[in-house]
Amino acid sequence: MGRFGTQGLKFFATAVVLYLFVFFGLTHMRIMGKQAIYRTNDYYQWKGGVAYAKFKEWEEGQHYDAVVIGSSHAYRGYDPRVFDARGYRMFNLGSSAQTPLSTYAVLEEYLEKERAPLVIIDVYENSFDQEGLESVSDLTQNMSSDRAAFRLAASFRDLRGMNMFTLRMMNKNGPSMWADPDYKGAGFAIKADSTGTGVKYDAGRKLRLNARQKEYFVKCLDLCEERGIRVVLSTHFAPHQSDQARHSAFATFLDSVLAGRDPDDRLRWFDFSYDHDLDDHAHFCDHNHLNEAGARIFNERLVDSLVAAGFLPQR
Amino acid sequence: MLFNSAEFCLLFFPLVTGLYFLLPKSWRWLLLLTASCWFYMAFVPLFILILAFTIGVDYVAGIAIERAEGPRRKAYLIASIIANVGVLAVFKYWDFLNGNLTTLFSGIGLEYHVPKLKEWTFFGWLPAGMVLPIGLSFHTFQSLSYTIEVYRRHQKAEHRFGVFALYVMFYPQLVAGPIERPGNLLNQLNAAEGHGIRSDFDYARVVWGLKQMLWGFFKKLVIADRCGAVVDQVYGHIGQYEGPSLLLATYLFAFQIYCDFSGYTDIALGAARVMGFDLMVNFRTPYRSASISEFWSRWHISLSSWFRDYLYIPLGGNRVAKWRWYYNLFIVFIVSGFWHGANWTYIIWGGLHGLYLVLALVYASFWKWSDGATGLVRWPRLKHWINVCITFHLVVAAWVFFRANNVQDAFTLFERVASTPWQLDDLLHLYDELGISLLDITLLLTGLFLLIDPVVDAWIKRERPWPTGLKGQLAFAGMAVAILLFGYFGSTSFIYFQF
Repeated sequence: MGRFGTQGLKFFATAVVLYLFVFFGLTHMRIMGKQAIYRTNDYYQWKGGVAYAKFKEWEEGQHYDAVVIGSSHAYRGYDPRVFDARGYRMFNLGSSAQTPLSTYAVLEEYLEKERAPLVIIDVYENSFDQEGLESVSDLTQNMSSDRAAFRLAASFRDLRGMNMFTLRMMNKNGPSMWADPDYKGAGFAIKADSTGTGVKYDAGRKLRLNARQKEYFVKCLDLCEERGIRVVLSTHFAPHQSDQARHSAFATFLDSVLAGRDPDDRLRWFDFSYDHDLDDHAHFCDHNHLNEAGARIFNERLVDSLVAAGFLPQR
Repeated sequence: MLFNSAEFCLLFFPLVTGLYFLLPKSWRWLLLLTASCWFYMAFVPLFILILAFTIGVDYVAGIAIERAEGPRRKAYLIASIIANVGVLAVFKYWDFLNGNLTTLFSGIGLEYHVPKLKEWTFFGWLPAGMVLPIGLSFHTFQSLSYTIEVYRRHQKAEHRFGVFALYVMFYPQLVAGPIERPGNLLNQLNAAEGHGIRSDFDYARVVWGLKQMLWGFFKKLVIADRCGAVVDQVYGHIGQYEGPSLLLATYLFAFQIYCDFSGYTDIALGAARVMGFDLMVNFRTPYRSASISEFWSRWHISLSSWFRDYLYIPLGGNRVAKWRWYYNLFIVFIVSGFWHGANWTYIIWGGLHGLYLVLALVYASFWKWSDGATGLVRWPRLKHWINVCITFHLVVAAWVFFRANNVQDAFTLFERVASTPWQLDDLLHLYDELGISLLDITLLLTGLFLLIDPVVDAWIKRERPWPTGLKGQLAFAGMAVAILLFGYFGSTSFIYFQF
């Protein structure tokens, strides 16, 4: 037994050294200008892009009237420029495929009442039916805080989390490796294009809500309540051809969560999904994201609703 | 419980193995039986009742066969076979037979409607559409081998129910084999005095077992699942791809299924070895076989030997007229295909292998003549490698049916490979679609090289000494690091679990 323990420790030490050595080699070796490890297994992501830019900008420490958070629906659909034109300052903390697990990590690290008294969480069924690998991968590379990245990687409860955090630390002093040309500032990115005709819409895929995402969604609400930050849930316009049955199933879940909350929270869900006259092609850039024209119309409607419901002051 | 799950690696295996060595020998069987129940019930708890039924029937049958004389022995054996095959027929083949009967009856204008088993949820206890108990064919065959061996008087009946239950349920090989024989596993369980189970902590053995497990994880997580990403994409949309991608996916499937299944087996053998048990060897570098018959002596050995001992030989084997010999071979492979799954694709796969074997026998004199005519007889090594290459390609062609979602898809694949233009664009499109990196490809090629390298296999089977000192440490740690860094993690199941 003693020999087994000693040899086990030796093996463990060798493996750790080898792991770091191989990782170092792969992150510092360039093939056609790319890190050798880039995109391997689909989750070794580059440092850079919208998330990297927005967390840098957020670190400037300004005050906002509202913060938007959520998946790509959030950062491509909620336009701070429209809020600005109406006299409100908004920052968008949404990121690619962000699930409630990641949203919690972002809120926990970055959001205080002093920075923004209102958080608008974009809720979208597809971010509740996955484990969240894409988002954890994006945020562990691009959040500005090592602590938040570590917490997120650890909360993912998967060996891939450890690899992603190691990759972050290996790239710590390196520059951003790419920039997204769609990025417009204040956390927002948009595409001006409209969809073509060959768009495939999800249909008939049964909604299977991930238990951990449900758990973290409630934790997000609790965290905001603890910090005295008001919360609005919002779902942006969806193409009429998208799967309405799937959305109905999601609505049932969300209604049950809202029914279980303290009425004093005054939590409200603005479900704009199919409550609009937008054209599936002219106002969307793909099967579920708004384009610039669609986003403008949506944001005007959102600001009106927030003001009417008293979440934003009249200006 | 999946071997490649965090639950198994971080909790189940260390806990069970640790307790195994800490407990007195007389308690170990109980620990292993409890652990095996936990392992099995992690999938769908209710299915353990089916396993309990099989165990109960064969336990009683074994004792009854041993005590009986004359025709009653046979009657008990037949009762055991009917019970076991009945379980398979209901849970595995019902929907297939039902579906085919529906087609047949509608073809002749008759109405036939018997509900599909998939529609039953057993009063909501089971998820709809989930009716095949995990590893059913494996433990049914293992249990059956016991009653047959008792009937043949090759094995004494096991009178301790717990030990017999453990023989059927021993967790490392419970859901995907190797399909053990009582002469090997049951005797090992009984080897120590009293109710105890043999073996104490043996450093060399434990390390050997762990190394074998590590090699199994490497094959599964680094190679099989990496190949699987390409295979699933292409075989899921056969009509969208052309010759190069379809061929690539088919070759990769050959390695995926080998690494997936032999990876599972290595983990199973390793986990058992750590505790002091030797399970049957199931694979011996099968893609280096120079003939189809050699392939079947190297691939899924526990199943092919099961069919040989309990079906092929009772049918008469090769000690019959030639036509009957060919018939026996063909039937055994058709049944083997059907054992894998209730689908025409598996039956065709089995039938193809049967056909290969029969053709090899029918044209034996022609092959011999052609070796002489081409001069290959003077170049035995070259002849050997040509045969290896031909055998591999025959096996790969049969895998198309094994993997295709239906027979139509399999034929579409062959048709598209033969008829679509061969352009590299198709591969580049696949490469883009899957987001495969250069490192992915390098890893895959390295993994495949290791796989076909008999040296690694010989290390694992201890036919060659494992490298020692720093070289050994680095090789072993390198494998672990490769799994950590490049393993495909997630909830990917093993292909053979479905059988």
